Amino acid sequence: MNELLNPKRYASFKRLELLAHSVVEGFKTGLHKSPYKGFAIEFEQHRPYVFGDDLKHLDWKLLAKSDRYYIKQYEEDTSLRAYLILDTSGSMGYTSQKHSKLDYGKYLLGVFSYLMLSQQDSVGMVTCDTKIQNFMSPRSSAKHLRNMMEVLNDISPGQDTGLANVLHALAGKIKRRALIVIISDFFDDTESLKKALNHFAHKKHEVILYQILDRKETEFPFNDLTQFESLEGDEIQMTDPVRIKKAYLEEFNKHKANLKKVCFNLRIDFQQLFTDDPFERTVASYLAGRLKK
Amino acid sequence: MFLFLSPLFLLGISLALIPLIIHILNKSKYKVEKWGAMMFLQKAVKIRARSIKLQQIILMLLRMAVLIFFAIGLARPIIQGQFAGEDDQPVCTVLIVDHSYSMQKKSNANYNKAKEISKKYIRDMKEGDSLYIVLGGSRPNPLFSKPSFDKGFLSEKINAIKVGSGDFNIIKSLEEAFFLLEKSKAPRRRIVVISDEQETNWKINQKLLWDKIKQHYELLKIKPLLYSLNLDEDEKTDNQWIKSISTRSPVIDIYRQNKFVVEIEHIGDKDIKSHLNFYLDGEIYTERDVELKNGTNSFVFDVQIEKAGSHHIKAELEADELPFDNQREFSFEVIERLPVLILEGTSDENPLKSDGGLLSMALEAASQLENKQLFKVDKKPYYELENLTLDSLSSYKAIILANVPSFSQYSIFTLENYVKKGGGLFIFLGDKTTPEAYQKVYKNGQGLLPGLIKKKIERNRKLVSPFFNPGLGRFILEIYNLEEGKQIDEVKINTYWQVSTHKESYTLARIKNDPMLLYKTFGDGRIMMLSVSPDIKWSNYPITPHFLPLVQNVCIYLCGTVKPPLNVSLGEPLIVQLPIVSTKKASDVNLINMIEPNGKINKLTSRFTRGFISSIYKETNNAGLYTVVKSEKEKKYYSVQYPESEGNLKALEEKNKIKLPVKFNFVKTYTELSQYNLEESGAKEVWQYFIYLLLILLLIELYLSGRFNK
Repeated sequence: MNELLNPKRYASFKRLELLAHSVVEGFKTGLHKSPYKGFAIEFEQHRPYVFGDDLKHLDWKLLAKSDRYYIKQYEEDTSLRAYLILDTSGSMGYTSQKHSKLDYGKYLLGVFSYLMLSQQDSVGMVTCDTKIQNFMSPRSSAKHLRNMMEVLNDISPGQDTGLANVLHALAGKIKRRALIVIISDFFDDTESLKKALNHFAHKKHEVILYQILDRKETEFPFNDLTQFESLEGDEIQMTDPVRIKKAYLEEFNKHKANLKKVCFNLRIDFQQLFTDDPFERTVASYLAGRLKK
Repeated sequence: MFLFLSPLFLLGISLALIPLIIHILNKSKYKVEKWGAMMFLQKAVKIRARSIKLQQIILMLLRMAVLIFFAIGLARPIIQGQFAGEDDQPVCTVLIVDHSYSMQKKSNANYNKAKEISKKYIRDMKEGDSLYIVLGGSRPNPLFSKPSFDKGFLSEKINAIKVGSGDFNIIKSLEEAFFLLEKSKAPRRRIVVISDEQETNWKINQKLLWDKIKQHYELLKIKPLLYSLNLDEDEKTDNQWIKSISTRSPVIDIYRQNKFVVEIEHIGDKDIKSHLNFYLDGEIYTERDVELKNGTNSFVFDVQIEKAGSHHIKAELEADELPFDNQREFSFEVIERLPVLILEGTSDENPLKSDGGLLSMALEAASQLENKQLFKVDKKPYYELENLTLDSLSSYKAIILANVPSFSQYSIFTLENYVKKGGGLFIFLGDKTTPEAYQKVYKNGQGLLPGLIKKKIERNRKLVSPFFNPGLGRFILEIYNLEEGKQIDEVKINTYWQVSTHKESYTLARIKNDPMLLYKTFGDGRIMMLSVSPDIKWSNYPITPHFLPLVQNVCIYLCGTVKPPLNVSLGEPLIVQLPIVSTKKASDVNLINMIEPNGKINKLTSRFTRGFISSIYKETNNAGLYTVVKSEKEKKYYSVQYPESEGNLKALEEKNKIKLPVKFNFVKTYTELSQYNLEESGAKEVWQYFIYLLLILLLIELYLSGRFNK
């Protein structure tokens, strides 16, 4: 897990800055723009005066020049407040490659927290399976990063997935608007997930979903008679994979499509990652994409 | 249902278990995968579970069916009956050609016709048809062991057939034909009998044999159609033939006029006159005009033969349309001496005091001629038997045991072997006899004694006379010139042994209800036993005029066994035995020839056996005289007799044709036969349909497995 703290690993991300798509409340001045038009640093635009506007924002100079009433509007830069939520349920322990989905999620979480903290953002971390296993409130100190990494280091795949319930609980717990990054395989009922994500959206949080999958889960490349043993319980299923492949992929793709649809409707950023994808390239490309928005 | 030409391949059906085994093995052989996305997997399985099972079963059944059809196809299934339709499926035919001598009628007319029709049949064989040829004789003779498709070869075989001299046993020929057809691979089968349809050949009365044939027929996988083509257009069945030649006396000697009986069978509405020639040793001995009535006519010839040794006679009847059976040969041995050994319980120079004295006198009084007499009698005390070997006993034609009190195991063993090899044994009981001693010889009926000796019966002066039974006792009655069952009153018996008979023995004479003279055969020999003593202590029998002919004739009868036989039926082997004259010389076995009736000379392969040069000659396919020649002077004659029934030319009656347990199609001409053949529905090979089905199933399997795997 020390790999998570290897500065070289994150060197490639130093140039990149995580720019949240929507501006959130921040308690630190940084590169993130506040969605609220305040009166602090940068002038943004004029608008016609309407009855009830505070006169202290009136642009007197313009009034003098043009004899018209305009109000001055400003942009205020804020610090980012982010919660990185990592699903540690049993299904995240699946691996057919070098790394399990959970490992991949840990790397991802490590990278994001490092980047955010390095640009003075506050980062909190939540790990969960059927319930919240670890909750670390957002901080921006370097020590906080070390603490997070230590916690991450000790995480192993847990019980059954109950992500929707956990997200509901978190949505109620996080009072201030924040960037919510959820890293999971999202092998849960899409209707329940929809309700939970809606809860976040309702509270004006910006939510980003990172769905981490193993290539075998999407391709189902098994040929021999196989006994599938659940990573989350005692279920055992003996079947001829060749015969059910089609039905499995249909179910899988249906779930993915539903999840995407939910994200689209709630304007939630959705990103699918595979454990065999080159890690740095995948993250770099995603962050570059976010920067353009 | 299907029948199979190569049913062994049906074992291949068991291969159908392979897909089943693979299916079961696959279930027990699987990989384990720890899996996270169970929610999708379980949904997918829920949807597909039933169809997967069904698909697996469908594919397994298809694969099993492919293997089953493959095995069935290899087993060459055929269908018979109406489903087979009329088609050109190959036919295997067994052509049974009547090879009996009746086919020689009218200068071989039927014989030539049979060959001509057979060749026509061969010519008309279609491609793929095959044929067996069986010569129908007393025993069927297949000309080759595998069905032939080669018309040239078959025609050559037909051309090479020569006239036969036996009868024709259709039942045996059918049995052979069934056996041959079972080896054939053809889907359609036929048996065609080409004969003159003599009723005797069809053995209508042999119901058991026909039932056996029917059972065999029913067991045949592919039932052949049976045809009989009658060659004989002639309604006239008159024929005369020499049925048999026999002798009245069991022994032919140089001392008496020997009586030969010639039986002539005449089948015809009217009595006819004919001429009968009688030959002795190839030269005419006598001749006479004979009038033949419908049925059996017997003619007796008295022949005086001066020289002992091998002789033969021939009876020859005036020729008719079937000349083959108008003559018959008969071979016999003329005896000069009959050596007899008497073993007596009490020996004395006074014949009235010794047990064998009167017996010896009775035998020596038999036929005499110029210082020669028929019986050469040796008399010894009974205990001398211990010193006699089987070889020394074999020089006697008969042995008489006169009041012998006891037997050792060795003497019983020697006597048993002596009789087994054809010797005669005459046992006289008497006052020295004990039931215990004779029980050892009786051996519960399995030994030499014809009856078990129980107790001595003393009549206390209430004398009884014996009487002779009919049947086997007839030859004794002929001696006495008595009517059957009549008592010999002059003979008075006071004491005798009560004897109980065994099921294998016969009672020839009785005293009251107790057997007096008993008879049984043992091996090749004959045994007689008299329950009265051979002296005058118990009866006056030995001093009555009845005793002498009894002893002489019984001894002649006992000596009359001719082994091996000189007259055999057609096809039976001839066992040739020649005495070793002096010392064993290689030339004795190397220079012996057999001259067949047609003049053909064959060298005999002989060897030395106990006291003889012996050989077996199996090529007795022609009736007539067979002469064994060792040197110009040393000849021995054997006769092979044609069957006596073949001369009856009566055709199989229509009512009997219907009664036959297996259905025959009776035809008169070849054209009729061909017509029948054309109308046969027969059988059809259908293996190719199974292969088509197999291919279709394979394609379905390929398609479905591809589709199911998608």
